[in-house]
Amino acid sequence: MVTKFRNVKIFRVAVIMTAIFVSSYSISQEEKSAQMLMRNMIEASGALNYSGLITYEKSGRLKTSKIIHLVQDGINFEKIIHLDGAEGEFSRFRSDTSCEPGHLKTLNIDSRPNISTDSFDLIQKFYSLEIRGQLRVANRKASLLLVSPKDKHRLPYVLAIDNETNLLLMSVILDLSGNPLERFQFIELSVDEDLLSLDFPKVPLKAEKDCKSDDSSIDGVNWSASWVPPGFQLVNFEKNKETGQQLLVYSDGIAVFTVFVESPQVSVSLPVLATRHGASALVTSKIKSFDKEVIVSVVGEVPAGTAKMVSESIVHASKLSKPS
Amino acid sequence: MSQYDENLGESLSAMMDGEAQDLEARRVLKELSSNDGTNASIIRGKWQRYHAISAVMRGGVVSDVDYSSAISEAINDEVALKTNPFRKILSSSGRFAIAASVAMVAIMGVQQFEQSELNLNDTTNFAQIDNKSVDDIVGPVNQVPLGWMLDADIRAVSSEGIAEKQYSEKEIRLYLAYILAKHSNQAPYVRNQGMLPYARIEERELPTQKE
Repeated sequence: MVTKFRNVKIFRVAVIMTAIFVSSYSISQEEKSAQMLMRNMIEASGALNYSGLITYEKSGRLKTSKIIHLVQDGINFEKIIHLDGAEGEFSRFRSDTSCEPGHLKTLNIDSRPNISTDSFDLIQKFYSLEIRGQLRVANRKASLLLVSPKDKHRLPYVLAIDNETNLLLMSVILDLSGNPLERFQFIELSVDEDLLSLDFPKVPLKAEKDCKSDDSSIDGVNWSASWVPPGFQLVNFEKNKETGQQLLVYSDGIAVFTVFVESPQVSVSLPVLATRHGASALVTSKIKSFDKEVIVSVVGEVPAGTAKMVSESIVHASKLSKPS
Repeated sequence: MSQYDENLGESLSAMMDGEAQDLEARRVLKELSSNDGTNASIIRGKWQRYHAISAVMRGGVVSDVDYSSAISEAINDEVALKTNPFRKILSSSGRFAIAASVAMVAIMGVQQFEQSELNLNDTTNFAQIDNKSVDDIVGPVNQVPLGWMLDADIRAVSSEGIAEKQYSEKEIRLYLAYILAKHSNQAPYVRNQGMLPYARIEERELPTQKE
């Protein structure tokens, strides 16, 4: 009898374990496909030739622009032309391989992972990904991907990713209560074959110069954040030698915020303020260091409270290095 | 018994079986309604007997009492039911109202269904400025409502208020536009949003023009 009972017990446990295994398996399968979609999207955005029209919507206003993205021999050419309002266009060449490793060495931050290669692990750690069905954007079938943060220091995103090319067709940034703050959306998109007629522009020498000038501008950067939300890493910093403004860029793989430390001369003219521009929070704080007050501005697609906390955590590097 | 009486008997029998022709039935009813004579009572008697016989044959109970005249009187004394035209309209409109509200529920149900279906696509709503969360989280610092071109009113006075050195509203606006543009220029280095962050760059504040 005892063995019989034991058998029943073992059987029950086995059934429960199987149920747990099966359910967790199916959940992880769903997660996996969402993660795969995200990964493919990140790859596609850098690897494909595409051009199209986008709308950008924030604060109740709509703006349209034309985007061109071309890749050749590992060099990306990016151009954006504003189609309404004041005339303007912006273009640049970018080569991740030639610039970034050098960058990291001279910045002396070897231990920090490169955001564009390792960012996917960060994304998985701090956001949960979920495919929420299909939709049509720019006359293309797309998958709706919900990217929700696991803490309150990041904003949720709703992305539409093209089923055919994995390009990002729509990106909506929401606030923490789920209201849309801003939206990018393609209204027309041509990919690869359609763009064969477009010649890749000649890479000017200036592109390389940009890298070097970036390297040389790091020397004087002596401010640092003593607190950033978990997962945010320093991806770039610069010092403007003329104005004394120092700039630190942090990212968790999706969200980006930039810290500006103004010179004491500029700081006296600036007030402490907080505002929001679309999904971008703009927050300033007054920091006292060596009997001087400096204004620290934080701009980024993060909750305003997070931006405020970061701005208050900025300390002079000499103070930061003392305890450690 | 005359031929007529014989025919009348046959007609009655046919009525009893439910097989009487129109003409036969009319003939019987005409005889019943004529008050003059024996025919009516004969017919009534026959009708009763036939029914009694059929009842017995089916094993039913036969009663001696004749209820017919009492029932007939009771029917004559019955007060006709009065119909109120207003109530008639009301009742029919009530039916309509119910039908309408059912339809309404159905429509609302569909709308709600669509809404819940599109819940994620709150994103399709117009993107709104989010001042509230700034108020809630950041607290007593100056609130600067910014418009598209950073052209909204700015009243930003530092708590310390060093008036002569303070930037004017316009200068503050330009400063904010500048750091926003610089940030937007940095953001695309993080590749995961593709080229979309470029769109954030204000046309007036493009780095190529500014720097």
